[in-house]
Amino acid sequence: MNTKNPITEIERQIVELMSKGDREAVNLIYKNYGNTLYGIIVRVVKSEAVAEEVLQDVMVKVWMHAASYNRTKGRLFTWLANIARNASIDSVRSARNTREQKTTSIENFVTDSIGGSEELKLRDSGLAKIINSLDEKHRILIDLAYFQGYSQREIEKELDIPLGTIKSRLRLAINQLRAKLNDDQVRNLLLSVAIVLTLFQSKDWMLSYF
Amino acid sequence: MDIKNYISSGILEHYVLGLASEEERREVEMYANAYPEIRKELDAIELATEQYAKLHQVQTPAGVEGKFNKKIDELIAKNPSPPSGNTSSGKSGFGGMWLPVALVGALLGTCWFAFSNYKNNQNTEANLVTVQEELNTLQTDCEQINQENESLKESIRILQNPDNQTTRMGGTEKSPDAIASVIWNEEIKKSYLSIQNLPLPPSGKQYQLWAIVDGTPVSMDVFDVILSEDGLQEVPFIDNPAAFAVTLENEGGSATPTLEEMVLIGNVG
Repeated sequence: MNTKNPITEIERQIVELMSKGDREAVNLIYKNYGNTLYGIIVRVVKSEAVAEEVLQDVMVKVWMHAASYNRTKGRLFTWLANIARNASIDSVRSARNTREQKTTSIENFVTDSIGGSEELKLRDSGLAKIINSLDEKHRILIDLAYFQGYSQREIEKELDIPLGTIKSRLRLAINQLRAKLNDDQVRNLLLSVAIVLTLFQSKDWMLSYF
Repeated sequence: MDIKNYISSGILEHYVLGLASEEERREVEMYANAYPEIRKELDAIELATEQYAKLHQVQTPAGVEGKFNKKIDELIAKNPSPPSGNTSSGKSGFGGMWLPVALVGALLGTCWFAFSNYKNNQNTEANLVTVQEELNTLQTDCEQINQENESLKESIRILQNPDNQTTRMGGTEKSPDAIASVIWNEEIKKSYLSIQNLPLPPSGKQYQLWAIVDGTPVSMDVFDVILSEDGLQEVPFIDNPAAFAVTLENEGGSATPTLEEMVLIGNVG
């Protein structure tokens, strides 16, 4: 297996089912990525009740657009994460509009969101160490974009750094992340998690034939 | 197409983190399909971000699976030929259901209309942002080019001084391909170093320039290897040089030259 770019068996299976319009694809996606997508949604919308609604919508959207996904659009997860993030941002925006910005002006919302990832407990304290070892100014950038759904312009405003710097700093941030995640120990840990998940999946999968 | 530049511009990270504009998205996807190197880099970024997201996963509440499956069932029931066929037990027979179904349909239609209006607005906004971003990038580029231009003009001005004297230094046995020149000017008391070819020093080492005056080496300071077109660098001016030489010294330089580490030498005149 190519550890550099592991497209797992389950991922391949899901993509195949998606292209056939097979309903099982959605359930497999939920099993494999549900918690991770939910992690993104909760961080953007900041309310578990709303997040649950959004998660449902996301899964319906995934079903509706499953046939339009293909490998040229990047990894399956990138595609899923985009749907989840966009749905979360839409939900926050429409909620803000209906409340006529009474409680959360953009500025408040923006300030509250920084460091939001810390409010939620990370699932694995060992892995939390990796995240904490990332440069704070780098982590903020990844989190703002990925978990808070900020646009470039919002990041520029919020952190008061020019666009060029955002671009180069984000690249540094991801490089740092790649380096940390490439650490052997971590890779082994993630690999074993993946193997357990895959075994778990294939057990379900086989059972469904009986 | 400069692939390395494209990769290092940070656009791929923007794409994966959902920051790219619609136009940029299309561009990245197109390039990734055309250039395996870009695809590979993109994959690595996507994988790292995916792992990062996984570290932040949160247990979903119980029962969500049932709820969205029910919604999907309803969708399929409403539209028996969904996005692309399905394997769920096809529900048929609208019977007395047509009125509620029609109502829900009308409601969905209204929602869709509102949604597409909203989307249109968003698109216009997004386009505006894209144009502003492009403007920003162009301004930054423009400033950078201006700076380069100023620096080139400065180099030309220095080189055109008729009182300049130039001494070409050739490589020694240690470094036969090395070439550099010292340009100095007695009138304005200034000296410059121009490197044409010199390997980068090993880590912990630095090159040091010397003038030989009355048979004694006088330090003209350590320098870094700059190979760009405007790579003229000013060095301390020394009167009455008979020769110039460059040695490889420990970082920070040395009080006396290490002769067996000499890489360049050239006599004046």
